[in-house]
Amino acid sequence: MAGSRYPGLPGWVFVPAAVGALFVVLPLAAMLGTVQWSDFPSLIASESSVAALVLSLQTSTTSTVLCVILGVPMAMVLARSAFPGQQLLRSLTLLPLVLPPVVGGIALLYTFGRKGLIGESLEVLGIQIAFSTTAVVMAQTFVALPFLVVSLEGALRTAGRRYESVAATLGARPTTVLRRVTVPLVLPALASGAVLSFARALGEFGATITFAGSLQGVTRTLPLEIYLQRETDPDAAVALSLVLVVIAVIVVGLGRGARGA
Amino acid sequence: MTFEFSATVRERDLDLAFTVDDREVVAVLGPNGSGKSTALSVIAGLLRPDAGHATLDGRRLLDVGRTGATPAWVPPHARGIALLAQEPLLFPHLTALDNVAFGPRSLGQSRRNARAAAHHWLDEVDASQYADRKPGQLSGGQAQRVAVARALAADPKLLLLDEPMAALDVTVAPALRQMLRRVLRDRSAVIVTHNVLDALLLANRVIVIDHGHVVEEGPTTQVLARPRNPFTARIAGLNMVRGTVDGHGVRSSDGLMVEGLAGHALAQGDPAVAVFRPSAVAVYRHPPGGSPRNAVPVTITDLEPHGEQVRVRTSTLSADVTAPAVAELDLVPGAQVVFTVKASEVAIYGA
Repeated sequence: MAGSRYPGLPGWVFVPAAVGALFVVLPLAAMLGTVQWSDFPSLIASESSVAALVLSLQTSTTSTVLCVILGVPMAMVLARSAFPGQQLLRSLTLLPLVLPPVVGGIALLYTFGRKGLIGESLEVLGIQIAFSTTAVVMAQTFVALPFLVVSLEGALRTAGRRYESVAATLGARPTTVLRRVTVPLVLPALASGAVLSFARALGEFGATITFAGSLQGVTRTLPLEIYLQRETDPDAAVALSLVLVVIAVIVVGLGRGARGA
Repeated sequence: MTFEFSATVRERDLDLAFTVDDREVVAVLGPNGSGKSTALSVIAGLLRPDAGHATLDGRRLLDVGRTGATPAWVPPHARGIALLAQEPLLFPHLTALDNVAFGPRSLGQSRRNARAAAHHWLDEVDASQYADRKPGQLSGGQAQRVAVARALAADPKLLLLDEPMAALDVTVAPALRQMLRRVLRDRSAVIVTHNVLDALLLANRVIVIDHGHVVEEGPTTQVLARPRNPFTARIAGLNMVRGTVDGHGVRSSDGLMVEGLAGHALAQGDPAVAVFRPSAVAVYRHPPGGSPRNAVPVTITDLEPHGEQVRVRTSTLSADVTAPAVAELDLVPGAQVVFTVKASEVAIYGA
């Protein structure tokens, strides 16, 4: 970088900023220091660990796809159309962002559980959702969806409708406008929104354990596995935590890349 | 092609009607906020009026809020009306060529034919050399050329232009205006502008709107030579005094009296305007004694360069004087001077 710009910040600002950065970095460093490097491969290669890792990646990917399929239309409706109760709908949509995940899990249980609102009818049809891998995906989608909707709706509002209006007067039908103008314009936001959703789904714990339980290979994702291992084998828990940190770092890196594009 | 249009948009205080004939370019003139762009949005189908109707070649594009008429609403993409805005609004993720090919593609042409059409239209606006560039690599004038090609490539029956030169550098606007003059020949178009040059060079007919209503309408040269509305007079660069006929002159409501020559006999007390060029006005520090000229005491509000001369503005009238005269008479904003104009330089006609 040629030349450096005068930051214009008061010097004292750097002190709390440094404290904040240390607060985030120090625990990670402490964890790194605790890892039993010699046993690391065997610690993360146990049958239950590998099962948890594979399950986590599978369910998080699936729920990210679901977030895109459901969240993109939601963001478009919220950003582009106007109808009574839209503000209320937006607030409700974003509720999972602020709700404790356990509460989300209980809500899902009373909807899709065996005695739930819809679950009872599904039970009659022979479909059981609670305590299955499907339930894991649903819990993750429930908590991750708002991340995609929020980032995409903001991008759509910033992009404005002017390009879309021009496209329409050039003879493009709404679906053509969506495909050839709207989506390409917000693609960076869509990518970073999807990455955020994936990260949130990967870290999901509370809603999952409430709604899906903790069955090895079926519903026990990596965060649940780490929590359980902590009781029996703290060294394995730390090793698995490190795996999750590495995945998170990669995901954040991808997100930054997408945003910068 | 014939186009008929009327619309009422209460929120924007718009209530107007006009027509566009085949191969006619109509300039819509009006002050900022007069409702010009709103009218274009309604025509393009981007804004739904409270009431209004529009037909293009007999096809009903719009019919809302009229008693006795079956409502009609054709969405923007099916109207055959393209809109060229102040900013080029080229799709940033597509090359210039693909931007121009967008319209033909949307109308169902094959990729190859659409590209061929795009090449043709880029050539037409002298922008072939930018075909492979992304909009971010084009200057404002280059991008607007591509935007013109894109609008024309959509093969619109009616082309709407919303101040297409307003966002451009003054050095590139003339070339674009010449290009538009060429491509608009034999086309039907509506151009919104507040530049008198656009109206003179591009339009056959002008409509002047103010506060959402049509206040003046007619062939361009006629309306600009004999304005009946203060806004039209201002953009035509003419002084205007509105009032009623009094003797051989026009007396305004605030008592200003200007004598002149009337083309037609006017009845005393009829509404009329007196119109004269700023260059016909002479400026004095003190009223010249015993002169047969019109003499109006004024206070200078502003001085601005105007070609080789200096335009001296007051709240109502303007005068063009030479720079040495400005120095000699010590003309500065706030100075009280007398504007004089010979009666033979003043045209008087009914308003």
